[in-house]
Amino acid sequence: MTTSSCRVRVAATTLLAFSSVAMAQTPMEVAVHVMNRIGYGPTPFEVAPLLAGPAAVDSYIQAQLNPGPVTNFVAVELLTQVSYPALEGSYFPIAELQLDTLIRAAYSEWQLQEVMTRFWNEHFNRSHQKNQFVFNVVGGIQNGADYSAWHLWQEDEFYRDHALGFFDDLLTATARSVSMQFYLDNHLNRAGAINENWARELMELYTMGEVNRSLPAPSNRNYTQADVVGVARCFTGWTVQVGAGPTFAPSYGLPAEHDSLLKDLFVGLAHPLQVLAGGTAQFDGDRVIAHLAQANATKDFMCRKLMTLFLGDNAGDQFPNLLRAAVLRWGPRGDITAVVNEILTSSEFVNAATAWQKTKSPLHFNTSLIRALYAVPDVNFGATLDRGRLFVHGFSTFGMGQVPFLFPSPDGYPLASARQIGVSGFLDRINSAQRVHPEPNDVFFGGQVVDVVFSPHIWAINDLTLAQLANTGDIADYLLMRHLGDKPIPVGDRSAVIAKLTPLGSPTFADDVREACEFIASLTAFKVH
Amino acid sequence: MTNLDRRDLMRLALGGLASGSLLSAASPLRAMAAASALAPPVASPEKVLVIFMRGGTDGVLALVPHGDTTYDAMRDLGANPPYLSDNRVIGLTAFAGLNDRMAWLANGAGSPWSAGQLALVHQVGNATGQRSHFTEQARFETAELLDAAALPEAGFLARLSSMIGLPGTTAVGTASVSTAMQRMFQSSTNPQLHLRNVPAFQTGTFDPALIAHLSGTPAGAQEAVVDAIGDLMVAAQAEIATPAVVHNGALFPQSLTEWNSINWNGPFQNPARYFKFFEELEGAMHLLAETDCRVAGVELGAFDTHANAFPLLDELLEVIAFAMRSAWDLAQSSSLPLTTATFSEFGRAAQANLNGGTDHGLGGVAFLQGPRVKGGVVNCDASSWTDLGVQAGLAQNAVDWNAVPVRTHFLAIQQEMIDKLYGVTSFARQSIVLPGLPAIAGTPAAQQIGFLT
Repeated sequence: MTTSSCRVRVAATTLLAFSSVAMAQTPMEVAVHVMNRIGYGPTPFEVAPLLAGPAAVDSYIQAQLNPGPVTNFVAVELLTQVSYPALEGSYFPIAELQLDTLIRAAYSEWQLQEVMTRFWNEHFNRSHQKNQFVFNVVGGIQNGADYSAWHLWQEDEFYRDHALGFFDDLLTATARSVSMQFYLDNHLNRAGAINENWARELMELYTMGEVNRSLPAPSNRNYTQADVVGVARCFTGWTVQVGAGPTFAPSYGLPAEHDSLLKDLFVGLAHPLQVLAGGTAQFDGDRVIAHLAQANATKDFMCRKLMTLFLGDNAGDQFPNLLRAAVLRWGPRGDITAVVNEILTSSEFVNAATAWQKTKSPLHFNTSLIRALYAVPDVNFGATLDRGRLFVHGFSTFGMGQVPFLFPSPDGYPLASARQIGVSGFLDRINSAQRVHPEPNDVFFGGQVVDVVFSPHIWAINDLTLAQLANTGDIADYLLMRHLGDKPIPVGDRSAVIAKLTPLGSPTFADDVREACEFIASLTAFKVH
Repeated sequence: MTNLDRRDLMRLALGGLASGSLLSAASPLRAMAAASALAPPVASPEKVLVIFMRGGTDGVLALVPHGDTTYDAMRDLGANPPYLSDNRVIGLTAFAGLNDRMAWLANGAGSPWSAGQLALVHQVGNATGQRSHFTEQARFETAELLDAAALPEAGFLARLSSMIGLPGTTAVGTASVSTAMQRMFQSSTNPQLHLRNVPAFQTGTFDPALIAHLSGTPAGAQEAVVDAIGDLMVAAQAEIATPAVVHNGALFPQSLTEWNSINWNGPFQNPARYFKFFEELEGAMHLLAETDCRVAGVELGAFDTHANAFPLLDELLEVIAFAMRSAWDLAQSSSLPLTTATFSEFGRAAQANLNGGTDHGLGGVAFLQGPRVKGGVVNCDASSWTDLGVQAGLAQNAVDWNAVPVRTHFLAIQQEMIDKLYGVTSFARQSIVLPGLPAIAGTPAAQQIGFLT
């Protein structure tokens, strides 16, 4: 295969009337980069306004930092098909919540909010796999109602509402959530019989991290085994109360269940804390949470993690000035909007050096596929939106190991790009790409393509563009643009796309478009962002 | 176009290899082949199956120190009947016994224990560990003893593969066969094969243009890694011998019908949760048995049991034992020189936490089996064991408070394996594969236990 590359040549359509000159950071490249990093990838309609220049990009980022109600008609219609429960204990399988996640990721115009909602769900990961069992045992539930899913849904809504809010709110709500109490066994934590699980992960995963990467060893250690024990003692007495129905609510136990003796925490470390004797379970636990939320180690840990999300692996080490600036924006409560704004408006964010350096997670890959073609799970040319078709697509995400609300371990699905790479995951992505493109029985009106209907699993694009393209080269470039913007690709890959296509009107045209789309979505270039 | 297909991959790979188009001059396969030319020649036919028990296995409940007089008081996890009763422990020595759900390893004339080829090692781990799952998993998989922040992505098996050279001109020296990429197989420069579900590549067609793309010259740093995976995938498929793999449901159950045909030692709440593990295990065994692949890895999770450990822990231990026995049986029937090594990142606390579970500890267990293994129980007798009651009584700020201590570092076991099985004999070379070795040199835990002939 030749080693030379080319930018996709674009046809003169409304959508594609933008520069594609081979240069670093074309407007299209910037727009695609921004939409890939703060969302689940560009759609042809949403990317177009960003091509106006830096001011348009900045305006888009600022709008994303201040999300409003979802108005996208596909999202709104599909969300009406999710069976939300009226009451705790109503029938509500976890699949409904997963579907809600998929719909919002694919179609919500508030992409940053969705990325951050998933980020907090993964950061404070709670697994339905374990929790469903615990809810059933603790609540004596026999009727099959899925209480775990209901609580996860409530918490998901909270994370969405506070996705760009304050870290102390997120941490406090998580600590008190029934799901987390069950997941990390804090509901069983009692004076004289501590359970260390929550205490350890609170420090290691949710706040400070095991070590402070900005400090040299050995002074970088954030806690010791004695602190795990001490913090666990502070939370003794926290539990979950089972009411009528049953219902589940956080509780802070009886005084006898709480270890109210003095706790000296983080002795000799940078963030000592003395929890005085006589405190209640709620007071002592909240004291620790407030302390950890404001610890410098937490600011460093969380800002690094957010930089990994938006910039790439080890971005905190790579861009120390930006890390310092982000930490300064943390403020007294952990102002997530301010920190994210600092990152997204930095010169490091919109930068050719950081573009195309991340590997898409399974959810990002599959969702970006939907968004690239603006595909909707459609039957009968838009007359009916079918949630089931979207869910079939979602299953292929789950098969790659990223299963919303079901990831087993408390660290959540890996954020780092390096952890996305493997033959199995690569193969799964290619196979997934085969399931979302049109099948041979698609319908075309009068020889003109008015809808590219994707079946049996997915959808239609209401798009007249293909009908206006003159030759296979233009069609190939159009399809490449939909998937990749104007990312340079090997000449041989573009030739392969063209070779798959026949002129409009040929009897195999629909099949050819399908195969071309499959091929493009299978390219290495589509697996990175 | 349907799903990727193993047969077509093979056909295309063979065609591509013949034309020289698949292995471009810049491909990692070439780089690895070049590196292997500089490495010492190794003719070892040995194979290794690594089974990782992710989540920190409660070693004390697997390999029971029934000679410990404090065991009952410290380990009352609510099991009924309790673990020390005669009907829950298979006595192996006067001091140590095996959880009876793991009887697959010890019962019967054909078992690895009765053949003298099963070593059960207690008190294995990292003596200075932080009891963090993620740090200790990474330390085990990278064989580095650095802080969490400094641990690399590269795994020790990837380095081993590079050092001993790859068989032939292909890349299937080591293979992780699990849903998640196992870090021990990972390398930033030579991505090791991570192939899940090998038997599934049976039908369909494959797009030659895509094969060409996957094997094409990389266009960027990120693409280089992914393109290399295309090379590896093609080469791996080319290695798998025809005819197609025959599934063995008696050894690798993947349906309720197959599961129920097995006479399990105890109940399972939801057998389906283990089907994927056995599918991956079967894939790994086929790679080891039918290709030049030297080391394959699978893993089972959910060992992190802080509360209500039963009956899940019982189930997990039986699945591990059954998997080891399946590997043993298949190796026996196919004369495969296979060593099976089963590890976890750490053990659990000495004293149970009164929630029917145990918190994080230090020393855990390692199970080693195969024709090169000298059978027996290690680090679990009166002279090597400190009562659990003593450990639980240590001050809370002691490093090893409430933990089974570490007598054998996991690096010492890794060191013995690469030495005896793959001829990496010099300490300098061993330290390249296992960079943490110098840090423990001279400590008692660094002493090899001599479990391999």
